[in-house]
Amino acid sequence: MGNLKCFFEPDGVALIGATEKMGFGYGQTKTLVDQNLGKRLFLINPSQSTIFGQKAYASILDIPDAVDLAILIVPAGVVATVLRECAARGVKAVIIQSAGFAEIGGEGVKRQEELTAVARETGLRIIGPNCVGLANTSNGFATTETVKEAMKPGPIGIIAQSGVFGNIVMDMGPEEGVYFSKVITLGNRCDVDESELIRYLGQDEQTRVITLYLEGVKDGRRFLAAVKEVAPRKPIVILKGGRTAAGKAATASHTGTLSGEDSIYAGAFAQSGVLRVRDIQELFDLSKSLALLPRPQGSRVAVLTTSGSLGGLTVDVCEDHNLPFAELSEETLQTVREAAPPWMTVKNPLDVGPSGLFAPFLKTLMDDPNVDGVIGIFLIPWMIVDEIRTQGAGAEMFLDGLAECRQWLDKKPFLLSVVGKREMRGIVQKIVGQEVPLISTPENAARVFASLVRYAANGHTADEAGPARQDSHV
Amino acid sequence: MEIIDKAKKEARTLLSEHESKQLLRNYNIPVTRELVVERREDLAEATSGIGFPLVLKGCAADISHKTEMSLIRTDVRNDEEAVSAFDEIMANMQGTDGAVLVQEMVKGKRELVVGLTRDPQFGPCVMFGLGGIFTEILKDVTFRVAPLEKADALEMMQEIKGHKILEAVRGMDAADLDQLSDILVNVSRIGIENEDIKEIDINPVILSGGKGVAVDALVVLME
Repeated sequence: MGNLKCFFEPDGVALIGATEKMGFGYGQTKTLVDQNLGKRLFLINPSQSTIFGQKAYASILDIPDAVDLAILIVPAGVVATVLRECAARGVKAVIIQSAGFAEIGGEGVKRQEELTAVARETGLRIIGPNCVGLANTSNGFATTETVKEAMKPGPIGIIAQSGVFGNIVMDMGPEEGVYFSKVITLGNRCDVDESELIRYLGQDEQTRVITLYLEGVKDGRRFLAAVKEVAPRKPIVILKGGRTAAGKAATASHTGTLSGEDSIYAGAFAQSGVLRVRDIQELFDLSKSLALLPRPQGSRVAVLTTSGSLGGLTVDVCEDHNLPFAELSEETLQTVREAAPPWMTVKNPLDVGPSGLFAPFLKTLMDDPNVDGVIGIFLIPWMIVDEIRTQGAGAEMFLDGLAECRQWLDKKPFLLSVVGKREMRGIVQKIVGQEVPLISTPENAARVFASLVRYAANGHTADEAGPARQDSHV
Repeated sequence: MEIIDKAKKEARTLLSEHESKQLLRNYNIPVTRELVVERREDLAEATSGIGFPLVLKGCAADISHKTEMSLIRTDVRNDEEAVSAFDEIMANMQGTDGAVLVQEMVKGKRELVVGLTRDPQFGPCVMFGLGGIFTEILKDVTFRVAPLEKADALEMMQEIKGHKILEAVRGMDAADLDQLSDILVNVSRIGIENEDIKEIDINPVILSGGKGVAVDALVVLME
């Protein structure tokens, strides 16, 4: 596993199939050239003698210096040959982006088996085929075009069994307040698989949360072993898709009939401590919350809302997850009663309506020792914001004191969700700062809290250095 | 294991109910007191040995689901009923190598299912859930990968939608969760230690006085 380092921190890189012609390979070539690797980058293409003004070589066997990483973007039919040349030239790690292997079935499967055989014979490691490779934000190394903002160093490590998912996640991340340590796309997993990468990211200091997108594991028991080793130190989040129809042979038993593929995965995840999310949005919400928020000491939740209906939806999801509602302390009840207008019902969940008391009551609830986490749902009808703007004021006046919440980041978790016109969310994010995560929906806020509780309950409270601050990425 | 070797020699992939229960007993899983009776003459001794009320079932290696085949008579209260049940079952089993299983009738209204399956990815996995004749309709089951620890067993039991059935409900005792956990852990051991076994159904596990008893069992061997 130490031999995976070359993928992320290569001393020298050879791009085989480099091209300055438009089409497949152009983007990868330009991306690598723009990374200013200088003498550490070799471009290889037998039919182009210079590429982007740089000398190109006909074969990896011709390059003057050894490299430890090669990236292949050549047609499937020649990959095996080129791979053997890489091995001969002392390359230690290869990323094969080319498609046309096991994913097409038939001949492709055999072609891929040959790649695995070369890896076994030579000790060379392969990521792919049929992937877009990886990005490492700590040194700016990327084998695919990336959005500049998405390369800002952050705490989330992504392992995706897909090509494009890596791009999706990097495109969306910054707007979701999510920044990455490493993003790896695995493709067909002819050699390196998710289990190895879980262990690798497990000891990568920059990564605080490991997030996976998988359609299926490569080897179930190896996966579970890797998760069991790493999850106690670092949370592991998974979005699992692609419920393939398990072609089930006729079975004599109820158990055989009932063991649909997903029910077994669900059990395996629960058992090993993997936190499962339902969709991409929840993937972002949970990943950043695990990276930025403290672990809850218990599961007693308080819900604070400016909208009764949204509060109700949140409570439903809390109940789905068996989250107990905190019994507010006498002190809290008194503080709230004193400040609350007569129409407000003082209880948990607490609906503050248009009273303007969201921020102060958030603080009150956070101070309550009976509360392990607060879900705060904030909504102001935009017409009110419009109105006060005409009077020269801003929405900030409803959020007076909310900036203080930054100080709670080492106390207990709070899941804030801003609902309504998107602009409102930007305003709140500015007030609370980048290190406070905002959750996309009230329902997801409840789900995320349930996952935080679950992670903590698994005994995974010991963080090496406390929750990460978002500003640690600058 | 002897029972398995015997079945393999006979080119069978199913163990009979009685054989299946012997396997479970070897792993400390509570099963019904029962005797196999092949001839009518031996019936009286068996029924008095176990004591009424009884359940009589057709038992043969090639019968897996008995309800559909009218091979079960429950609540048999006396010798006359026993004989009539015996005859009926033997008649319905004509053509098979069957005998009649004379079994204690376990008192309990709550039926659970415990199973074992081999997943191509994760290997042997244990199933737990609501059992009985509607098992496949309710589909209220959870899975864990073998080997199970006690904590896994306890967690999976709370995950089924109907988990409250394990509490002291309707005047019945709360389920002995420790005892049920042992059953789940031991089933996982069976999966790990016997590569010849492909699937196991223990359905129903009836809660009697809060404790689980395997009332029926089916073991499927690898081909």
